[in-house]
Parts: sequence; structure tokens; C-alpha cells
Amino acid sequence: MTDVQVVDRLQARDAQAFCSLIERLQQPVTGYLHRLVGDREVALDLAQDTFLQVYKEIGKTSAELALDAWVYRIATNYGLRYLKRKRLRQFVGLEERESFDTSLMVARLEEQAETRILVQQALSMMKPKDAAFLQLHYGDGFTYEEIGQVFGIGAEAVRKRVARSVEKFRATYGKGPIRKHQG
Amino acid sequence: MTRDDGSAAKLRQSGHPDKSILLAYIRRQPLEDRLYIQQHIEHCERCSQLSDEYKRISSTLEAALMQVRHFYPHVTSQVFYNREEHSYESGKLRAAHRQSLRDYRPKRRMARLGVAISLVLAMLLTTVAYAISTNHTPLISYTFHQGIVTTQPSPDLGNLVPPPQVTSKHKHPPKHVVAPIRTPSVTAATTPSSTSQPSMVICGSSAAGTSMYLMLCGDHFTPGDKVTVVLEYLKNSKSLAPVTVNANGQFEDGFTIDCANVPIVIYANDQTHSTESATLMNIPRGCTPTPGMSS
Repeated sequence: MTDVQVVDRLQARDAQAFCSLIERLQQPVTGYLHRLVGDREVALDLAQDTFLQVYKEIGKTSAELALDAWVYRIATNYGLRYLKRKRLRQFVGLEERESFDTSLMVARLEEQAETRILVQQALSMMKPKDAAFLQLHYGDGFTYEEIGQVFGIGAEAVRKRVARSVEKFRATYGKGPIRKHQG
Repeated sequence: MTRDDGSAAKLRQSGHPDKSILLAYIRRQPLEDRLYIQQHIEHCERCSQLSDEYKRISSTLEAALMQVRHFYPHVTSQVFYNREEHSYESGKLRAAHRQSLRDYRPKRRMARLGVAISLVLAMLLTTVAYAISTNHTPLISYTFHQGIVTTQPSPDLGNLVPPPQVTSKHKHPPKHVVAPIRTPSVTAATTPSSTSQPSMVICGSSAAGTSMYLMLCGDHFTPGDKVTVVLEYLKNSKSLAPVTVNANGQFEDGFTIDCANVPIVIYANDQTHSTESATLMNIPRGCTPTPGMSS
């Protein structure tokens, strides 16, 4: 079934089509949000909000919609909005800075777990949108063109943004409160 | 290390590719001049080192981000069907999910509740402020008539009961207090009348085709004075022949009006003292005869 047909069915409020969409995208979208916001429970909530928004807004879209990119765009907006509020709360002192999500430490080898924490730490020190670019590209395997569809920008702009984000990552990696073991 | 052949010299002269192009090349993203970049990296030590660095960072990021695979509880699709029916029947999964979200949801709900309360309070305050600024009260409006500030029933009430007098700025000549002879039978708002103020009511009417005869009764006027009744229409006015107030301070005057063209206001002017003595508003429209008045 093509994307156009799926969108048609979703716009017609076809329950089966929604089930299929959730079946296909729920795990990757929740995983993406989990890595982006660093909190499993919040990621589940945001994923729920994302699919509710998809259900509510699908009727207003055109049939030529890039469905997956659109769903990721909604998820990204929710994730970035959450991070923005969280940082504001931290700034005004209403919320303490959290330690890193231990649920992401599932690697068997200690060093891999350490790398994962350092990466997560570096991403959390970056601008949420920059981190989202890296999450989509390295975590979800999105091409520059697909990321462009998510953010509504061209592939060239994505290329520059990803490169800039990688440079920022390079600058912050291993320089947070948790440092890489020497030797 | 830089290769030293003819093409390497050419590449050196053309400059280094942008960092973003190098990264895109490493990440196997579509590029127009892929071959050129490949050749440049092979011949340029600096770009070769940078691309190695990008490869290392990319593998770190991929290893850290792609290897994290969790199983997340399903977002129950039941919520979508139930939204259509405006009922949220919760399944076990959704209940468990809600429970897991208790740290996040309540804050949002409380925030929404706070916004709703603020809006209601703001609307309430705005209404009160508007009422105060415009001095608007639904039941009583103030009017200045003959130098006397009196309260007057709102026209839409059609109330004939005279409200209490509030204040008097100017002395008014004392009037002879006489009880009204006839009870008004038509509901119409009149100028405020107290025991000493001239007043006027429609004390009878009769309909005949498209016209109607109205009888006006005045009270508390100065005995012996000449009173002229003026019918004020939307575009013009019409004065009736003067009538004399009797010894009891009363007068009666009758006239015929077109049912389709009813006066807006009727005045009773005291010709002797050259004053406007009484006003009658809200004259009944249409050709409905007043009960108690024969044709």
C-alpha cells in the first residue's frame, strides 16, 4: 500500500489503518523521544500525545503527505517543547538537574555503557534541536532528505546543520561532569 | 600525507571541500561531486584526518544511539476509537500507562485548570468594571427631568408603578396633592411621578380599523392651567388643542393615531407656566384596544 493510500484511509478515520500506523511507528518514535528527552516515562507520554495529534490533525493534511516524516515532526515538536520547558524550570530553580537516565545503560560491557552515558551527556548539553538532528540521523538512520522533511527544510540546510551539530558534539563530548576514564 | 601526482596538485589548488560536504561524504549522503571529494581526501592530509575524525565520531554516535533498543508498552489504539464516541474507555494497558505518567500529567492538568480559573476571573472583573464605568444597572436608569433627578423604571419593563424620588437639586413649586381618579389601564412607562409631580397616563383606547383613539389622563397639574399635549413622532411632532386643568389638578385629552405610526413620546406642556410637565413613553403599538374603554 502506498503512502497516499494510507493517508487516504487515515483521513477516512479507518481504525485498521491507525492500528497499522501505531504498530509500525510506535516503537521507533518512542525510542527516538526516549533518547531525545532522556526519560522513558515522559517519552511514553509524548508518544501518546504524538499519535493523538496525528489522529486529530490527519484530516487537515494533503494526500501527498510524507507520513513518517510528518509523524516524526510532531514527535520532535513535542520533544523539543518538553526540553524547553524542562530547561526553563531548571533555570528558575523549580527543577533539579537530573542525573542521566539509567535505563539507557543496558549494554553488557561497561565501556559501552560509559560511552553511551557520555554521548547522552554531550547531547543534553547541546541545543535540543541540534541534538534532534543527530538523534534522527545516527539513532534512527534518517537520511538528510528525510530529516529535511521532518523539519521542513532542504537537504542542503540539513547537511550544514548536521555538520554544525557534530562539531558541537565534538566540543562537548567527554567534557561534562562525567568524564571518560583515562587508561 | 599528501600524494604527489598531477591530479593532487589540481585538487590542492581548488581548495578543501566544506566540512559539511566531508561529513555528508562519510555518511554516504547524496552528493553531486562525490568522485572529486573522494580524490581530494585521498590526496589531502588535512581532509583525510578530518574525515577520519568524522568517522570516529559517527561510529561513537551510532554505537551509543542505535544500540539502545527498548520495548515500550503499546499506545493503546483504543483511545482513537473512543475519541470518536466521546468516551474514553480505558483498557488495562492504558490504565497502566496512565499510572506511569502520573509524574507528568497532573502538572499539565493543574496548569490547564489554573488557566481556566484565571480566564473566568478576568471575565468577571471585566464585566464588573464595565458596569461601573458605564453606570449601567439593569433595572434602574437615571433621568434628569425638569431639574429633578429621579429614578425611572427601564422602558422595557412597562412598569407604571412610580419609583421613589432620589434627590432634588432645585426647589419645585409645591403641588396640590390629589389622589388619582382613574387607575391607568394601559401599560406604559411615564415620567416619574410622586404625590406632587404632574403625571400622565393612557387611561383608555379604542381601535377602529387601522387607527386607534387614545385617551390621556393627567394628574397633579396646577388647577386652571392650560396644558397642550404634543405627540412626538420619529420625523415630526403634532400639538393638540390646549385643555384646561380642572380644580383637582387633572385633565383629559383624546386623539386618534394611525396604528402604523405611533408617537415615540407624548409630552404635556403647561402653557401657563411655559414648562414641560409630564412625559409619556412606550406608547403601545398596534391596534389593540385597552380593556376597560369602550369603543
